[in-house]
Amino acid sequence: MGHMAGSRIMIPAIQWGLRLVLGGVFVYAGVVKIYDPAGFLADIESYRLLPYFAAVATALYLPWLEVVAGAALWIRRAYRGSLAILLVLTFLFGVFITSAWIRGLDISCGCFGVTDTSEANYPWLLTRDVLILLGLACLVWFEQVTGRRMSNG
Amino acid sequence: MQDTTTINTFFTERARILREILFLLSLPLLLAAGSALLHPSAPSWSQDALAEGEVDLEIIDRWEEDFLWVDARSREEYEEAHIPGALLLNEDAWDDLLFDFFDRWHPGKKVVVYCGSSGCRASHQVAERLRDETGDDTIQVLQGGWDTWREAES
Repeated sequence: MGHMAGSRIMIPAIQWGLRLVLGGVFVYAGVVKIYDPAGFLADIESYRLLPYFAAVATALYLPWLEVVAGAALWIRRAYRGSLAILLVLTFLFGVFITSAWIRGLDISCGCFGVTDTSEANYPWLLTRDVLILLGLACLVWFEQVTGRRMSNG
Repeated sequence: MQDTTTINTFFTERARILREILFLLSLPLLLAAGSALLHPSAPSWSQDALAEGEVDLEIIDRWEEDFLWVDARSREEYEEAHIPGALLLNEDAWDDLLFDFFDRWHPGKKVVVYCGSSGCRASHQVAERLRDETGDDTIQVLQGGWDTWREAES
């Protein structure tokens, strides 16, 4: 009984903590890129994955998507939709970083709008991506657990 | 009976999440359109358009006066190949390399900085720092960088 009661308090607390932190990470990542779309475009081009036109569209759209989906993580009515979008985005970021690593490109990640000329630290970029992915996966798992508990009465 | 209710709930839930996703994907479209129209440094949709502070090889070909090429790539890339006469100056060894720059530059002499390709920012960053160091606002960046120059040569 005590264990059940503990998890009933712990899960919402961890869930809210993760929602706040992960939402904040995406909002921050989006805002810094909104300030400098030309810089972010150069970062996207360094991955050499998209034709120029698509890279421009991405440079304008993606930062806003990060801000909107990140902030929606804090809003109950949009929470699950935002979780789905952020999971897919973070997974794709991991794929793009890995593909650049395999091709030996010197990318500037563009993840948080910071561009620098030093060589990309791929292990760190991927670790960070996987940590965010794990955090989001935890939220999905909590959603399953609390959803099931609610449907069980 | 309970099964039907469970299935109905399942589909209603799915539809609700899908609606949330569609809303969250559409809202940034409007905001991005705002950025494209109003942002002062919104990128151009045409790749050939020169960004602020950039020149292309066509413009450079018309210059009659002497100018200095600055290579903002890494030392390894520079040593592998570079534009003839170009000077290495990157942010990895800025303080050391800056002396070489001032040995070859004098006020009024044009400078064009380049990095690897259109996808790198190093040339813009080096040009910006050089403008600060020299007070010369005419220091420019080669659009397309080393890739463009090599293509034009071949």
